[in-house]
Amino acid sequence: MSKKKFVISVGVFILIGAILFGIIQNVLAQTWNRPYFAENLTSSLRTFYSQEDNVDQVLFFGTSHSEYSVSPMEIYEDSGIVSYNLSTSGQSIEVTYYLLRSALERQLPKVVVLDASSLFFDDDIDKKNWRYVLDEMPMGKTKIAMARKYAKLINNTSVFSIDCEKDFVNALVPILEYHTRWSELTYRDFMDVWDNDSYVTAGYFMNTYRNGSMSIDEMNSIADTLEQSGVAYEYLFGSDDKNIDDSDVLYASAISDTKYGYLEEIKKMCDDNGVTLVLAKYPSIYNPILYSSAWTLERSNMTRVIAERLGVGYLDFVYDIDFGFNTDTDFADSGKHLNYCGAKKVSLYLSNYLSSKYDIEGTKYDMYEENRTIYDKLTEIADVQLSDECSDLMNYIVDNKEKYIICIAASDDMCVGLGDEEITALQKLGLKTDYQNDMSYGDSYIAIIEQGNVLFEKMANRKISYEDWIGEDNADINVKIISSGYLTGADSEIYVNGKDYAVNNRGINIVLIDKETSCVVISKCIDTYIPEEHYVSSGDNVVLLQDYWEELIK
Amino acid sequence: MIFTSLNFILFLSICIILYYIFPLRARWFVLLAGSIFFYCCAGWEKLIFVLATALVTYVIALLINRIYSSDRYAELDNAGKKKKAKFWLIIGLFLVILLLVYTKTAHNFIEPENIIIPLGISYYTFGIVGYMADVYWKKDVAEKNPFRLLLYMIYFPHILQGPIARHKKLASQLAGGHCFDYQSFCFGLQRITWGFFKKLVIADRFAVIVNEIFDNYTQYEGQYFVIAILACAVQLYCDFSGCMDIALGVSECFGITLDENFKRPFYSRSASEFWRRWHITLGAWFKDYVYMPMVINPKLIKLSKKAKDKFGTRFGKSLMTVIPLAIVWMLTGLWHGTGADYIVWGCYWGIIIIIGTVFAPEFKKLTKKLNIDTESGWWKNFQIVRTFLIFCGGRLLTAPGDIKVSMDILKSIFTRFNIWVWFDQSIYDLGLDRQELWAGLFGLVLLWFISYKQEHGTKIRETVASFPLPLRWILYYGLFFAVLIFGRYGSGFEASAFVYMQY
Repeated sequence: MSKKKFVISVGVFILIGAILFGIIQNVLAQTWNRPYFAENLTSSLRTFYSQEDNVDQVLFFGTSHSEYSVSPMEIYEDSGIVSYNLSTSGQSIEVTYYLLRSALERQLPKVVVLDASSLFFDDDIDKKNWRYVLDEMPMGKTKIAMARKYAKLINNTSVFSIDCEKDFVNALVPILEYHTRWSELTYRDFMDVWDNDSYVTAGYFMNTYRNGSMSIDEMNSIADTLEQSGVAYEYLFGSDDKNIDDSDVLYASAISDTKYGYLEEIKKMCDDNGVTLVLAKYPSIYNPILYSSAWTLERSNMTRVIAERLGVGYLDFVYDIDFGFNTDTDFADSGKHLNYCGAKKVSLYLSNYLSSKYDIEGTKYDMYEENRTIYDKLTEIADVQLSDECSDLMNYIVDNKEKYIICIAASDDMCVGLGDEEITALQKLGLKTDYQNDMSYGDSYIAIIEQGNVLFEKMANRKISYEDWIGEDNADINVKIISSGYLTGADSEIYVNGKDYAVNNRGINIVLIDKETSCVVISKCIDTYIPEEHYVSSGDNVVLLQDYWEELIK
Repeated sequence: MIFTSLNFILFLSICIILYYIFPLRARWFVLLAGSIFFYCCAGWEKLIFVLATALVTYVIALLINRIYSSDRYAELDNAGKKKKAKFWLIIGLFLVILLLVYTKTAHNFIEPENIIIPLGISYYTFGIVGYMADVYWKKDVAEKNPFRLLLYMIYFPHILQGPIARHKKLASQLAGGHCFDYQSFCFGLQRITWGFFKKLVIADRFAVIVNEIFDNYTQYEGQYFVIAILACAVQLYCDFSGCMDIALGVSECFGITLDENFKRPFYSRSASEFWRRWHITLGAWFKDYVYMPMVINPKLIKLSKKAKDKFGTRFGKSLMTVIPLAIVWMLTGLWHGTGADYIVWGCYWGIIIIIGTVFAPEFKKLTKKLNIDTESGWWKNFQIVRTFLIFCGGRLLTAPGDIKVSMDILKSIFTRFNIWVWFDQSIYDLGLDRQELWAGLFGLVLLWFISYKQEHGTKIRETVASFPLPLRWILYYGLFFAVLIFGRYGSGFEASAFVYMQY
């Protein structure tokens, strides 16, 4: 073999190896890139990096609070402002610094909105919160600098050490860390290699759980009491002394010098790039000793002082801004994070604020235009999932019966408190049962409606069941329904392709299967036992939404 | 710095680049510097012991050499020279073996954390004992350059686990620089990758099962121990031979050939054949420096003669075999460890091999009487399985770490009947889930296929090299990515040291 041929051959071998390496690494190292990967509350940073340069007018950074609270698509649909939410779970201000640095290499936004939660983080490093960002950041100077910082922080060293170098390499070559994922790979892991712009929410994490919080006053009262309680002590029965630890207070609220230093760096970076920095705090109302990001008045005041000192804007959605917020309906998890209902309110406020305060004019962005169809389908389902009004639900079902396979099963009793409004709605669906005259307390009931056609309807005073294949050529979806009244088991089960989706509470259990995707999108139960007080309960909304989401982007 | 760490890969890359950048005559210096650095990574204070040992060896070998060649001793006859040389040899052997014995037994009287155990002491001590003996027997000449002797001792590919190299064969290769040879370099890289595969994909995977069962042996019984012992056998082989593949492969990258240490030992048909295929250089060392000197020792010959006269020819002849073998196996056991388990282990192998050797005529008669065709396939396979089971028996004695535990386990295997654990998914609860276990088993099947081909005369690397380019590259990429994906390394796993590093 000639020397030239040899060199070419070695070069090609290395090149092919590098390409294969890149592909395999991408497949294995995408843990954080799931729109439906609820456990890690991550955003779709990869989509951000696949955008064209200089399209984003506003960028949002911060923790899961920001991730759950700001929907760029909602802002875009309202005012045409193109924004991206780069928030990730537990994003410390150090991580934000590098992420912003990397973002500004590609985008030149007018405004950067930074979640103020991370100012109050302690200086301990949480490895995975760095990896969410580090693993998605493209290779470049900023990534190398971030990896270097990460390695030094986790090894708590500023000098050369073998372990530090090892972690530095691991951070830059994710396969070394994530190769063990080979046994849990799914279809999407492979598809994401080719299709990395399929995330339609531009970094927003849509959540449709609904759990109200305590009041703001209650939270502050707890914080005050904790602060006033002074030093921490322990007293063990039988011992003579109280164990007093005056170095450990029950609740403290402070911004470390490190965090403040990074905030100054961020401000400087923004100034150098002609970007306006705004601090924001989205609602988070929780017992401050149980949740370190609870936004107490003390924290709000400290942040306001800092914002004034640095000359940056400050948006406090807890204490300053009235945006129609409701602590009962707008939280996903008892006050920690917002659900879609709350996020919509925040996003619409931001849309208005950004366009009026900073004169940002809306524009048309092709990627978001493409995403709108899917996003609107998601929000339509999210709205229904979050609604607890019986009439809203029934009206929605009636109005959209063409789109769904509707499965109904009674549990315990469905007719005692059934009102005229519900009966009319059921009749509009084409159901023939005379609920007032034929149906008795505790009767079982099953109905299946496919795109407005009643396929099956049965009522009995004993346990009944139904099973069949539904869909095109009767072969798409297997549905099995069981219903029993109060005296015969008080049970309802609605299986779709083997999985039970019924809420299985007293009343009318309803499951909606989307015809387009064959996904179950809504699972509700209307308790029709007590007249006029029809409580609506939901199934696992987020799981349903994520499955639907996944199907839509497939 | 273990071979499978990222640090080692980085270190090796730098060494290779520097080796081929330096002029030919100075390349040995790169190896020496690299080896010293490698050694210091385990603790610089350990290097002091090695330097002291190297100095003693260097001086003793030179003294012996001088006795044979210098005019100063011209007045002495051969016997006189030999006697003088023997004196120095004994001094040298005493000093280096004393240090080895100290490191092996110090834990009995000093807190383990206060003991400094030089890296690879068991391996380099055997190497220099052989070197001094060879100089004494005039099979080798004394090294003139002390740094070259030091390089022979601590040459980094073989310092961790061997193979135990002979000075005469290796020193000249180390001293003479090697030009870059593409084929040798590629073969080296292939062998390193194969070693990584054996260690990271197979050995470290089965180690999970072994550790789970032996660390919690009170929670398991019966067939679980059979699983553990089988896994343990696979683990040890893949671990040790994998390390050898890396060591030999690394050496090949420098153009240096180390001795093979394994020759598919699980194809052995007898215990003695097994030890000619497993840890070959250790067996060969004992044969050359313990067994043979004893066999030709006049005192033993005299004793044998006496026994022949008194108890017959067969007894006398057997004595000539039994005594050296018993000593060799006692020393082999002690070399592996000074605990009761290793002493029993040495006796176990010694007894089996002695019985096999002494009663070979009776076994031959028996097979003839039973009309067994000893060349038939089933008989060969039976012998292979039998040898494997003997090996497993040996593992049972040492793997649990305590001879009493080994006996409890043995008892449990024969008294607790739970054969169903092989079939009722219990096997997936031993630390490896279904996919992990199957990945290990697929690795094992690949290893078996390669070994089978080699056993039947195929030279794998040469055969692969003759394949069309696309196929060849697919195989190279396949092996590399198999290690990268299925290997057990990284932050999720604690770096697992090679088993034979402890010796």
